[in-house]
Amino acid sequence: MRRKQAIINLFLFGLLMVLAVVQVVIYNRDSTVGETYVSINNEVEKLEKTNNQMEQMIASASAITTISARSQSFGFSFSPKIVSLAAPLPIAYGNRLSP
Amino acid sequence: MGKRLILVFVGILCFFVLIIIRLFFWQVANIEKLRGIAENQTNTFLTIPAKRGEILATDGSPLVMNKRAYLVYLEPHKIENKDKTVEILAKELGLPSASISAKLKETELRWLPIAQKIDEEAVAKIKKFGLPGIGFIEESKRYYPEGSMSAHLLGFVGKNAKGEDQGYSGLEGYYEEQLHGRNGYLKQETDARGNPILSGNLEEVQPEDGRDLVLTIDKTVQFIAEKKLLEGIEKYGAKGGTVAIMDPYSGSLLASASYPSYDPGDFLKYPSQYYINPVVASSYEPGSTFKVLVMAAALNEGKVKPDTKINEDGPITIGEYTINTWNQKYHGEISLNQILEYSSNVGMVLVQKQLGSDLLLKYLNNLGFGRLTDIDLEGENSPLLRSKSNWYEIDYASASFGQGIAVTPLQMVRAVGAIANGGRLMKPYVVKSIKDKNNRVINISEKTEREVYKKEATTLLTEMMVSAVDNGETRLIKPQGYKIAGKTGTAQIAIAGHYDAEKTIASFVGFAPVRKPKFVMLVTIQEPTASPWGSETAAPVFFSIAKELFSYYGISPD
Repeated sequence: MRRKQAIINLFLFGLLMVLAVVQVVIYNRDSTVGETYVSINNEVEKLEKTNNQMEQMIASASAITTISARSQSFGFSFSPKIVSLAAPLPIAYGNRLSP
Repeated sequence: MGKRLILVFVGILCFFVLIIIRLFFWQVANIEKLRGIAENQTNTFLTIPAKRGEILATDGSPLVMNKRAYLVYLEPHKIENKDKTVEILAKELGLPSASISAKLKETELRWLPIAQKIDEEAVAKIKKFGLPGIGFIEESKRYYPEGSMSAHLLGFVGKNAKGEDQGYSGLEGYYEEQLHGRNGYLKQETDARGNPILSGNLEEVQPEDGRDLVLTIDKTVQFIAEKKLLEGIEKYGAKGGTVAIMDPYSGSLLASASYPSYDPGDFLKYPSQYYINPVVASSYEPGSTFKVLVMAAALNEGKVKPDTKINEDGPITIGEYTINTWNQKYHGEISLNQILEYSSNVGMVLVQKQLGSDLLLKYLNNLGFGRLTDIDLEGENSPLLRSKSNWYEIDYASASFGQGIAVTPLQMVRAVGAIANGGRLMKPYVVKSIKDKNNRVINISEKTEREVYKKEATTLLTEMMVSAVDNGETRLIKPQGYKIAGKTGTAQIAIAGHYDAEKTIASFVGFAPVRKPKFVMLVTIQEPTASPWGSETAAPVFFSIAKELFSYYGISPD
């Protein structure tokens, strides 16, 4: 009976020690994982920054003012010519169409 | 022996009582103070700034975005080489070195802001020098991918009295509450290095980012309007001008251009009068463009009919005033069509007499003149409409041809829009929906203010306006193959109680295609020097924009 009690006491003591060590290990890990958290946050911030820069670049490159300037440099003309076939054709066109 | 024992016991007891009292002092009486000190040491408090909402064109492409920027500050006590620091900052920030030096000398502060809204590129250059005592706090600034396009519509972001970002003018001003958002914060325990302790106390309130605005503005139409307006102003040697293009059926603004303008990203470099949007805030006398509204009123009331003839024999005298035609030509008996084709002031006065003074005033009120349109833009203004007791016979007469009455371009284009859409006066608006970051959308619907004209009257008037374009002063310059309903206007400018002999505001208002108008547009050219006439300045600008719009919208000729 006394031996049984001693074994139980020893077991409980051992369990207490193990749990104490586990607690210390877990809290220590939680306390130091903040460094990893910061570095992940920094990485996220870097990616967000790059994302933001690319958004601006895309917006700028697809801006109508940019496209207009570039298209003119490639020789595209701006003013469309509307030719109405209902009205009599100008003489130049008339000559071109006649046999 | 017993007594000594008791004495020692009492002494030890007193000692422990003192310790307990002291512990009570620190752990109970001063607990809040010590907790505060501990929190300050171990906790960090970070403001998480909310992003300001973006402004998008009708196709979702951005007109205004946010861009990372930085506040540059100095910690004077950490600066090692003052001269070098000042020199580098002055060069990279574009600030006078004398002003930076002066700030450093005058203050004993340990934290000194030097410049705000500095771009990342400039900050990266400063960081390369690795100078101590220079710090950066991230903030954001507005970025305009289209440059200064739509400046008057967009407005700009400045600072309020508290030094916080605030929108002014246009959409930035009107929708400040929606765009601003609400900052969040993060309160967390940190270790000695400043790293967060995840198992510690953490209190976080997420920021509420500002909402995005999706506009009715079509970027392409806006670009065309601005380009053609600027070309027109330069060609005709004008002081300025406006173009307002609206969907007549919904009242949504498709484009609004005005010059002179400014760069909203650099607004401080421009005089403050440039911030005013002339389309919604500047008044002018509309001149002959107003005739269409008075004619429509007379037709609507049945006071004149399509076959009514008017005697344009000569000038009309009203009291001490004489009203002539613009070119001193008189055609005898003319039809209503011809009144608009010849742009006859005399003809319009006679039509107005048929309509009557009370009805004219009623229509002016019904068409929204003298009141704000309540468009969703900050800075709208409206010239007042005089009360009936201040109207005399000559005022009714001159109002019939658009003189002696002041309107804004927005009021004018909206009123003509009522003719284009069959008689309904629409509430103009610029924002069609508001989106938050969770993609919840609030749609803004169109609103009919009131029915002003009957459909039959507007149909008749539309035919007259087409006839005015086809047979009037603009017959040689209008795009061939299209039916455009329009009217020229040339109004003298009132200066110090009389009309200037030379200066005019030339205008043209119209809509197309007449079978189902896609747009109603008003062009005003202020004080053109090449020619004072609307038919020779504003009308060509109108038609050049209209040609582009026909092509853009795929509108085939009639």
